Order: sequence, then structure tokens, then C-alpha cells
Amino acid sequence: MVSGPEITAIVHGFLGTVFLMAFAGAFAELVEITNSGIKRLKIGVTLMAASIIITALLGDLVYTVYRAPVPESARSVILAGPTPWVHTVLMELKEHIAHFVPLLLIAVAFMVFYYDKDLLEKKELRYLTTALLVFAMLITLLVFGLGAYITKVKPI
Amino acid sequence: MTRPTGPISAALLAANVGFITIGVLNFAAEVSAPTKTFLTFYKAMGALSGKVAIAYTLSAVVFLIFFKLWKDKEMDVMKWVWITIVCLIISTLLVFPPAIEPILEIIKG
Repeated sequence: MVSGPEITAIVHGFLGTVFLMAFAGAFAELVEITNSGIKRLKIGVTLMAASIIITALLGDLVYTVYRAPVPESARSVILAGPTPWVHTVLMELKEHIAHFVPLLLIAVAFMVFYYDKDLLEKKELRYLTTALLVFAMLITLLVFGLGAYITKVKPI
Repeated sequence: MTRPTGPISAALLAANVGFITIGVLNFAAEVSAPTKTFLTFYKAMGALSGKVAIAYTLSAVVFLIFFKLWKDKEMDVMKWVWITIVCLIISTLLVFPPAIEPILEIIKG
């Protein structure tokens, strides 16, 4: 039987996949932008922002289970085991940088909605938006990688 | 005509304030135990709850203020993107224990 925290963790991971797929779409639209592509770009960045905000919130929920002050919680087990650095370094980094992404994504989504069709003409603005989108993606990939490794060491 | 770049600069400034606040509060929580206790808004989540709540609130306030101040201004967006990248690097270092531990050792003696 799958428990509540496990379902939350599964949805958390699933929304992360939605984020990655939305990135692929938004990135492709930004690189080869067309008049009709603006609408798809807006859908892409909105999906990215929405999925990452919900992913971060669910992540915080999973985090409360992970760090529960009981001997059988993932954090307690990792700290008592042979690789305490998985918590003291990797989890510490992950839990904080994960909260950078929604801030960055909201700024990028605002940029796309604000400039709208100006993005067609202003190449520089388009490149800057793409660069920020790629940065958000790189941080997210790092967070995903850390999450996958920590879960491999001790699942929730 | 292209829309002014001030609001975009305000959005990036707000995001940067958020990153740096999380980084600085994390460092402050590591330096002082009372700060860590103060930042524990929600016990189950620990000090992370306070760091994120303060950072996000501050970020929203900064955006509202600077959006109003800069809405008709022309600003160098490229400069703001570089500032954002630098702020992201600094904030990441401030939440990366191996990077802050030597400084903490000096402060704590």
C-alpha cells in the first residue's frame, strides 16, 4: 500500500517531469520564435512556473517527513549511517537552491508576458530570456539529481 | 514601439533579493542559534520555513516598489541578467556547507 508521503513524493517527481517537458517546448519556441509561437511560449513558461511552484510546495511537505525528529526518519538514518554528508552537504544544498527556481521562473514568465510580441523583433531580449530559462533549468536539474541520489541512499 | 525595460529590471532585482535573502539568512542561522530558532516559523520544516517565507515576502515587496518606480524607465537588462547570475552563484555558495564552514570556524573561533 502506498502511503500519503509516498504519493506526495511521486507527484513531486511527476511535476518535475512536467517542468522539464515544458522547458523543452518553451526553449524551442524561443529559439525559432514566430508570431503564433508567442502563445505557445506563454503556455510553456506558465506551465514551468506553475509546476515548479507546486513542486517546491510539495517538496516542503515531503521535507517535513524526511526530517521528522524520530530515529526511523530518512534524515536520522542518514546521519547515523556511514554517509552523513548526504544530509549535511547534499540535502542542505538541495533544500535551499530548490527555492531559487520559483523566483527565477516568475521573473522569466513576467518577462515573456510583458514583452509579448516585442520578443519577435528584439533579438537581445530573446537571448536574455533564453539564458535565464536555461539557468533555471540547470538549477532544477541539479536539484533533481541531488533528490534522486538522496532518495537512493534512503527513501522517504 | 518596444516597452520600457524598467519593469523587467524590477522583476530581476526582486528575484535577486530573494536569492540573497535565502543565502544570508542561512549563513546567519548557522552563525547564531537564536537566529535559527527565530527562523523556525513552522517546526516540522525547521529554519527553512522562515528563510523561504522572509525571502519570498521581501522579493514580492521589492518587486511592487521597484515596478512602480521603474515602470517608465529604460534600463540595461543585460546588466541585470549578469547581476542575477552573480547573485545566484553567491547565494548558492552561502547555502553550500563546505563553502561556508571555513568562515563559520573563523567566526566561532
